[in-house]
Amino acid sequence: MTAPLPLDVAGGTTPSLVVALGVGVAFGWCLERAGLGSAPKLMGQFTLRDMTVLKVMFSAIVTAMLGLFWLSWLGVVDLSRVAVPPTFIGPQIVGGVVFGAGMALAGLCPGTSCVAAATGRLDGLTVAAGFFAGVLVTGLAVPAMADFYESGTRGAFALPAALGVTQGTVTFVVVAGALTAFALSGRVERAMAARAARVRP
Amino acid sequence: MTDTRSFVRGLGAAAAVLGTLAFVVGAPVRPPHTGRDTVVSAATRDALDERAIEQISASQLARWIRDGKAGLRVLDLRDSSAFETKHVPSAESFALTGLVTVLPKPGETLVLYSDDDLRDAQATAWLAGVGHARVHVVRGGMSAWMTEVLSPIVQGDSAKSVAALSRYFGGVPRLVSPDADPRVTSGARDDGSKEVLEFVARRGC
Repeated sequence: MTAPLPLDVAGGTTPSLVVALGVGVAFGWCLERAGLGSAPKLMGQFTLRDMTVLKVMFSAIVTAMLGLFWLSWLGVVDLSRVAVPPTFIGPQIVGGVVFGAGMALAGLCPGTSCVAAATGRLDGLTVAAGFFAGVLVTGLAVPAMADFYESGTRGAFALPAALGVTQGTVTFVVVAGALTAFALSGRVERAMAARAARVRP
Repeated sequence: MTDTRSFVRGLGAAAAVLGTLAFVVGAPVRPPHTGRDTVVSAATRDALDERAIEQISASQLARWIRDGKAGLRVLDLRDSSAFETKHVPSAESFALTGLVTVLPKPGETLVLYSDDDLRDAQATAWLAGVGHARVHVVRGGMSAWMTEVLSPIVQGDSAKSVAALSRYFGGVPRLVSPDADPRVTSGARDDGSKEVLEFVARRGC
């Protein structure tokens, strides 16, 4: 049997929820260990003083990308069973801008706010309450903006199809970009630290 | 500290090697083989499942070709001699190993046909694996094209549209009386004449 395993077929939704809970807790633990439950740490990315977020995110992307590519090539993972969220170009651009603005204001994204809340940080609890309220308001507003909400649909639209290149080419470019970013991030951090030292009296 | 740095550099080097190999390999699926004795992979077995393959009828393909469906690309997976003898209009001949050159394009709809379900399944698994979003298989392959499009039995409410579609591709619709047994009506043409039907190369084939 190839992965991902059909948990819903094996025993209904309960096994899926149990596995999801386990994966979520493990993911949250990793985020906390990486220091991403701290809003100042995340804000360091926006000011280029702390590139931890870039390193963690790019590490996750490269690990998942290479892992899925080669496990599929070896016949262990069936990529046709991996869900690809559908693309809605206009709505997702707007959603991305709103998300980015919210993250810059709060210093936390939904995942990291849950981590911060779980560790008892007050800012994490506040942001988590805020995004749950946002989800509720958006859900209630969907009928009023249904036309826009479902506009620009492209289905499961991934980079290879958009660019007309192979999955291997996209993987290579992303890995090369990540390694370049890793190599440069240390220099950027040092440059920003030196600049901050010069500014201080 | 030095150990950690060495470990991180090792991971980076491994990622660089795997990323470069991914570029060389191109697709995250091994190329399918054409031999019937090929071990059927798990992905192929899944693709053999009808839930995994989106099948269309030969008539549906005929309507898409006639109506000029945007982004339609028809691939004939039979051997080249069978393709030369007859094929669906606008179809391109491809061996399974040649599918590595079929890259995903936005808005493209691929329709595959052959006379071999296993070959269809292997091709579908491969194309889905490299990112093709819309891949269809013609149910019954070339045989279905011959019987459903080029030599359809026409009766009932859809008789006129089926016959018109068949004639568009140079086919010869067979007319059937309501009380006749469809299994023994071959040869009755809708123009009233009687002649033995032969599968000959027709316009567009």
